[in-house]
Amino acid sequence: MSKKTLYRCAAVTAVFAIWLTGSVLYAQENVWRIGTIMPLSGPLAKNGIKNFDGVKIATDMVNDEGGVLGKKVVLVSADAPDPQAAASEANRLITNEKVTAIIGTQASTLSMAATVVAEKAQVFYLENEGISAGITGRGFKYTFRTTFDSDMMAYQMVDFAAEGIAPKIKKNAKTLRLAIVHEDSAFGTATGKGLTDRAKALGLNVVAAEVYSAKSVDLSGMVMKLRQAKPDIILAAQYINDSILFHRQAKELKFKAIVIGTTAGQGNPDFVQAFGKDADGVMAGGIPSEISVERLQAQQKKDALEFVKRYKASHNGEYPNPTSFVGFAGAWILYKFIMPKAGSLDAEKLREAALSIDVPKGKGVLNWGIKFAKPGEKNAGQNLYASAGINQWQNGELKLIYPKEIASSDLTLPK
Amino acid sequence: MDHTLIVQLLISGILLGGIYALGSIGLTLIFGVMKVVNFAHGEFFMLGMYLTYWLFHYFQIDPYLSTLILVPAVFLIGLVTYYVFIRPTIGSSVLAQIFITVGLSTIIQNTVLLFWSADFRSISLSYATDAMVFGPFPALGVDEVMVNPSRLIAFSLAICLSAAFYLFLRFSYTGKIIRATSQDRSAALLMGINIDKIYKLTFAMGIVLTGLAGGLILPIYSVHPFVGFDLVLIMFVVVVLGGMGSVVGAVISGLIIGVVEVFSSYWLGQENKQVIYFLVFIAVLVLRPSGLFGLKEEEEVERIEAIE
Repeated sequence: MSKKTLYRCAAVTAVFAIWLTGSVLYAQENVWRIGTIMPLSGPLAKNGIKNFDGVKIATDMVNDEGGVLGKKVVLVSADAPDPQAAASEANRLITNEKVTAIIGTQASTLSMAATVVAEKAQVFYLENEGISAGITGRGFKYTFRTTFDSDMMAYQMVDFAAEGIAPKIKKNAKTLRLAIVHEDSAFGTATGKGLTDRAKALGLNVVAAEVYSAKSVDLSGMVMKLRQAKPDIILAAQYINDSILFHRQAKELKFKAIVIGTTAGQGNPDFVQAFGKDADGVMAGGIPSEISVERLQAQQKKDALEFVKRYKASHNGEYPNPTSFVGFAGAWILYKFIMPKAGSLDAEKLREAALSIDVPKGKGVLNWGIKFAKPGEKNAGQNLYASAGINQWQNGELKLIYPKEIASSDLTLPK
Repeated sequence: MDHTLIVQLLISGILLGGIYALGSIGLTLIFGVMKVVNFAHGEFFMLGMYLTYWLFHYFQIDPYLSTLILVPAVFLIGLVTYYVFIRPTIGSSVLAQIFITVGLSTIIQNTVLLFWSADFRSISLSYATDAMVFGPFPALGVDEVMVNPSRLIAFSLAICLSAAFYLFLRFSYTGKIIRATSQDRSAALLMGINIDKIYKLTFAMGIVLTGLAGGLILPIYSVHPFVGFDLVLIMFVVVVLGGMGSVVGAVISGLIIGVVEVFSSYWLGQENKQVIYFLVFIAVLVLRPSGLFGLKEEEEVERIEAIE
């Protein structure tokens, strides 16, 4: 490179740097700047983008109403395809972008890494989807989670298997045969532990427990092992790709059982695309599906319908993915409940505001309430009034079948 | 341990191995002839899957029929890639080739992500995904065993293609030229062989095989922009185990890995299966550093000296 080019490059860089700093300084005065960390590229991008869409729409909605306390919200978004990137992007947002509040991270593995950085820097971190119980189980001061955790979801899956399904297949707690299958990242491991703990507590008979990597390209050995164990119900914590592979290989090997997966896997719209009619009967614990919107209380229903409307408008009429719903819900809780109370984005004030909120179930967002576990309590920072549900594919649609008060359909047993 | 189970695991393993073999032939061919390690291999595989998916999605063309469109399409992609990215690196350092193919891999992944989103797309093809049931065979003490048609097709094609390639390389005139080029680039050049043409042909053929493999496994796996990641590691293992550059080696080592993987995941648990096939991998490399069917080390050294 000649000297002349070098000078030119330096000049251009300098101009850009000045422009960037200028715009940042300018921006800081008039708006709320909130960081977001999501996997927008890489293997987790699918749900990361959907979640981020939910956050963005919540932001647009609140800005169209005039913002929070009269100031608009601006998102400073960061892409975190893997845990290393999650940590370094958290660092960048905090040190370079000077944000004091972050919404993230969609996946538990990413959240575990990013929250450590935020905690050290004393930055408010709002986890809106990563459900691994460990995220709030570490006694962090600044980490809050709006959605349910893996234990809440797993317990509900086991309870539903024992109370909702067992009587219908003429089994009781003693004779019911359960299998637990989970992938080995933070999400699957935490959910698997919740499933195992709950099954043990209820004295249920777990006939097989299988762990595998979600990146596996073959699960036939595992399917054969499960087939030999003859379970009535399989409780499965899987992501989408491996859940499709698992069901395909089960079909290839003529293995049938009732499956309760999660909305990260079996409840994903790609699942029904892969199996068509064969998806019918498969259940998914986790985020309550679309139908809950119709039975929400007035304000919550209005918010949710507005969200659905905007989502459809920007996604060719497609109904929001459950992931987008929790993404929306997390941001909504921050904008509508925490920030107005804190009156600033100061992490300490946000934290105090979050801890002081007590909104009963049904009065927050979706069918949730808002009450975060206090420091020193088990799972400090967890929203105790969030709730999971059990969905089931029926005629190609994901229907909510549990809990009863917001359910849109009844359990139909797969033939 | 009952016989049915062993037979079923063996079938599953062999069919899985067929998929590994089918996916690896293109990689080993390109390496064998051009000495280019194609790190974007998984992405060409992914492109093959996507093309087949879109043909099915928009025109309802059966994935097996659409190979007729797929093959010329990926051949073109291969040619363009060769001219734009690979050709300028021929004869330069290995590092440059690594950079260019790794970069290409990232570019393809993210372009696909941009245009086609990160959705997991799959086709539902009941005749290809149902189980064919064989048996029972009371004489052998074997009950019903299941064979999946789309895996069987992939397996059979892996065997046929590798046999055809073996014969092509062994006996045809072009095959002989390709082998000559692969054995000694400088000598081939001195004998008046048009190296550029051979490289172009080889690269495009390798990409065709890879894309074709992708298309053929679409009934089994769903496609997303990062599907290459999941598959490419095992394909590299297969190619190195079989001996880099050996088509027959790729098939045999593919089958070995498939069977080892299925049995070990049954007995030791799905989470431990990689330990076993990597142990097999290391053991083979200790005993035969150039892989099962690779050239012996002395030949390799001579050849490198000759090139230098």
